Amino acid sequence: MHHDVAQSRQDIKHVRDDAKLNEALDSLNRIILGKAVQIRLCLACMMAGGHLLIEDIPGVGKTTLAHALARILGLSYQRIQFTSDLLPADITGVSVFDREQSAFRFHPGPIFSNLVLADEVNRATPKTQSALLEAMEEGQVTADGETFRLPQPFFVVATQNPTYQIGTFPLPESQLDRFLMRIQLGYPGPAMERELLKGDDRRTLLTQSQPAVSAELIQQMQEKVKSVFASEALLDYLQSIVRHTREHTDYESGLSPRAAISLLRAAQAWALLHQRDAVLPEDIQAVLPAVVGHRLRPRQEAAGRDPDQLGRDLLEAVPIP
Amino acid sequence: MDNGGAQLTRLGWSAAAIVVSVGPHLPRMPVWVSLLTLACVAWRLAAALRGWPSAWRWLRMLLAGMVFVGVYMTYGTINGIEAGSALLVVMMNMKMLETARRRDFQVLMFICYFLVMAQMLFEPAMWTLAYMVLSVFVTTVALLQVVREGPPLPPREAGMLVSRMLIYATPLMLALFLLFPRIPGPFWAMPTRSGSASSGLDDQMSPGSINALSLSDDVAFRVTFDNEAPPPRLRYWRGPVFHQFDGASWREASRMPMWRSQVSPRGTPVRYRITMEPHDRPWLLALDYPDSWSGVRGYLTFDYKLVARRPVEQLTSYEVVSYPDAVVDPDISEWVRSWSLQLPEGRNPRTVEMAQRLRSRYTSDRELVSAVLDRFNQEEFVYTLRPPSLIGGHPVDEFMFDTRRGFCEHYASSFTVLMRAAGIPARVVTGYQGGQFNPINGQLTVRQSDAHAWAEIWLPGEGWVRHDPTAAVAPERIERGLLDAVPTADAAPGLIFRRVPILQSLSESWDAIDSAWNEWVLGYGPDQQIALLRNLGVGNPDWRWLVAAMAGTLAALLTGLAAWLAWRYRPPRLDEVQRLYKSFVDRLQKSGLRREPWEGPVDFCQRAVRLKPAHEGAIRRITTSYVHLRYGPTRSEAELDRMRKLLRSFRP
Repeated sequence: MHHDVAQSRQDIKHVRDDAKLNEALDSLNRIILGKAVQIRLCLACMMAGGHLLIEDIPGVGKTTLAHALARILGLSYQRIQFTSDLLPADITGVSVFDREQSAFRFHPGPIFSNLVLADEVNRATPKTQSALLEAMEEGQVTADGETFRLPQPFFVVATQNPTYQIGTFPLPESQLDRFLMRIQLGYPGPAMERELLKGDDRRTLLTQSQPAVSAELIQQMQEKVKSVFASEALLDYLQSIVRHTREHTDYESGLSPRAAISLLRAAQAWALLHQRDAVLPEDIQAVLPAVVGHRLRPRQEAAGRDPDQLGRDLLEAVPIP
Repeated sequence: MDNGGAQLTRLGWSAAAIVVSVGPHLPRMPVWVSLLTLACVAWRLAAALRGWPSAWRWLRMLLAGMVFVGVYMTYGTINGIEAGSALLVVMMNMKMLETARRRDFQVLMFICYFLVMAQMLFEPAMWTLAYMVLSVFVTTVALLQVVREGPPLPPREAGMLVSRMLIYATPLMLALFLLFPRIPGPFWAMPTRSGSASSGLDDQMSPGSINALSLSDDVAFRVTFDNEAPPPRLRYWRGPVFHQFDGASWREASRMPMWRSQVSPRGTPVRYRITMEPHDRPWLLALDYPDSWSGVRGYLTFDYKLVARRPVEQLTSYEVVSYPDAVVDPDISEWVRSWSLQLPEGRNPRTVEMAQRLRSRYTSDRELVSAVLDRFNQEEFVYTLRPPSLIGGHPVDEFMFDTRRGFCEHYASSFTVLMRAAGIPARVVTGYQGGQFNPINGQLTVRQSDAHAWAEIWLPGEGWVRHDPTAAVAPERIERGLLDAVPTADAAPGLIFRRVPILQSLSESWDAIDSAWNEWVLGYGPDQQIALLRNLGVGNPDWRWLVAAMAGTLAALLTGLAAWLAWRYRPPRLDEVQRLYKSFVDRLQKSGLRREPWEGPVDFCQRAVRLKPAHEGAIRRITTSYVHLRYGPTRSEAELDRMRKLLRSFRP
């Protein structure tokens, strides 16, 4: 999508940190080939202060993407491999008795990190899953009556294999809702795959690359996202999309108010990522499939369509007022 | 169709629709149809509740074949409205057994509508209409629940929606009713029903064979007089005339002479219009003696009864001019004379003997007649509706000399026998006598209980003269009506009501409404249609005009409805920015570039630039202005101005 039109006007404020963001995008695109849209969505998700769910078959670069994000954005990074015997304490941390001080001391778990990669989140038991999701929602961990704040910015990238695989606990709908976006990576195009085959190992590239932005900048951006202007006309559009999902019979249930807010935040982040201080209908359209794909349950007749198609159908059904 | 609960709701509504639409038909049908209906509905509901699979296909086929044969055996045919509606009901039950998909339910509901409509063929009364409205409502709710996508609506919401739909449909219904071309003739007549109408008149008369006359309160016909109505004593409505007597029963002349009668007008004519309830016989009642008539195809027989060419099977309205003072048949043919003197050999000897005695005493026919009437009047004859049965072989003798209790048939019959035995040509005339004026609409209502029988004798030079021996016995029967002539214990319940003033006036109001219903709804035929359109200023409407008018009216109504709905759900008013942008989009559209309704302005701009590179600058600038004005945080007049100017010169 091209957005040079809006850029060309003087009175839309240019974001000062353009350069840095573009640099980050470039670096990411060098490591993850041919996934420019998904990378932008990841950034937008992060800037909107949401968490990300990547759903795809193994081996398409989910973990690499998460790792690269942490690296390039200058965030502390922890990876938790979810398995069926993982316990909640393995994520949040444990209190251990300290003989010297004769007291329990909390040892923070891997979740105390800016960017947490929850790998194969659907392999863990629901109990463990909910420990992670609780932390995501609250931004804090409570152990032995004491509350520990998680570092800011805090960003969970969960990956999930398609749920039809054996030995998995698919995330329930109520918990899917905690993720701002769900994206799929998909297979790379032939040219990109060729480059992947010929080029260096991605992990090597990863270790060679330098952070382009810092955690502070991400936090500033998160603040800025909320001030991106959404006009009445745009809110009209957003509401008619939401209303359509609630009234139309293609869907089991419509989008919740939380989903509407998520959609707006993501669109604001997307606009900011394109150096605009106002949201356009195109911004909503760009983020919509990732934001609503895991929240909308299509009815039987419409079932089986992939989330992108579902999003496109929804968009094409709602005229822009 | 999704979950079980929704399916149950749909089934429940369908069952309700079936019950209301089939219910009124069941009493007329054999009991097994009711049982079958009950069984099918119950089985289907139970199957849905318990999750039974649907009945085997071959079983359903077998059952359908059996009920088909059942209907055929019951009615001996599958045609006609009675057998036809029975067939419809049983086949609907068969359909009920295999309802699974939306389409099955739809078929079921359409059959329900048809059955609701068929009810009007059997009971064309006003309460039927009220019931039909209710049935249509229930059936439409069921149809709505069945065809609707998604879960069923709560009953209240569905009810409101259906009420709205039916109200929207009412003007269409009225337009169709008023304008649908009515073609005169039997085309619109209902198929014949087998003896379902009741009448106070019959084509034979056997005084003494019945010992209680049931007084039906049903309306026989209604009369509107153009001018002054004749007094009660002249209100003799002529029906079947009896010539043949076998000693106990009277029958109509076995062979009708081919000639038709002609009344030579004399005195003041009475002009009136009769709206006749169906009675399945061809007689058209008229005041003595009808001279001309219109509105119905009929003829006047040699004995002056007005007969339609087809039995009166639907509400029939006709106009008649009668001359009460006309002299009819000053000369009679030998045929008629011999029929009018016929008496069976050896029956009722005492009566015959008495007639001969009177004949020898009075030479003048007139004197003889008054002597007989005096005898009825002065001897102990009693007018009663519950006379003793006349069981012997000579019923006239028995009545004249033993029981002396009877009603009009007894008196008319004995009088005629006496006259014939005395050599005076005489015949029995049946019909109705009297009627009751309804003060609300000024109509005269004649009921089955007003059925009457009297006699006519032929006197040389005077022709046929009416004599009513009942008047000699009970004059109040003729002057004031049956109600005053019979003791309270004799009267039917319906008649007793009329003795209470408030009930009387209620009854009159109802009668007026019923009559209006007859006249304006059931009786709305070709003549009324043309009259109505003439009143509306249409010169000469033929069926082509009617078809065109109907189509036009329907189109106008639908257009109006569409316009109203479009206005009701109109898009919000556009402000100037949107208007300007719309004109930009419209201009591009004219040059062959269509914007999809869901296409954002920037995306559209990209596409437009690609397809119209010559206008790239203008397209980009206009889009930028629009985006700023519509989606930007501030809205500057300068920007709006810029957009206006840009658009003024934009000619893609």
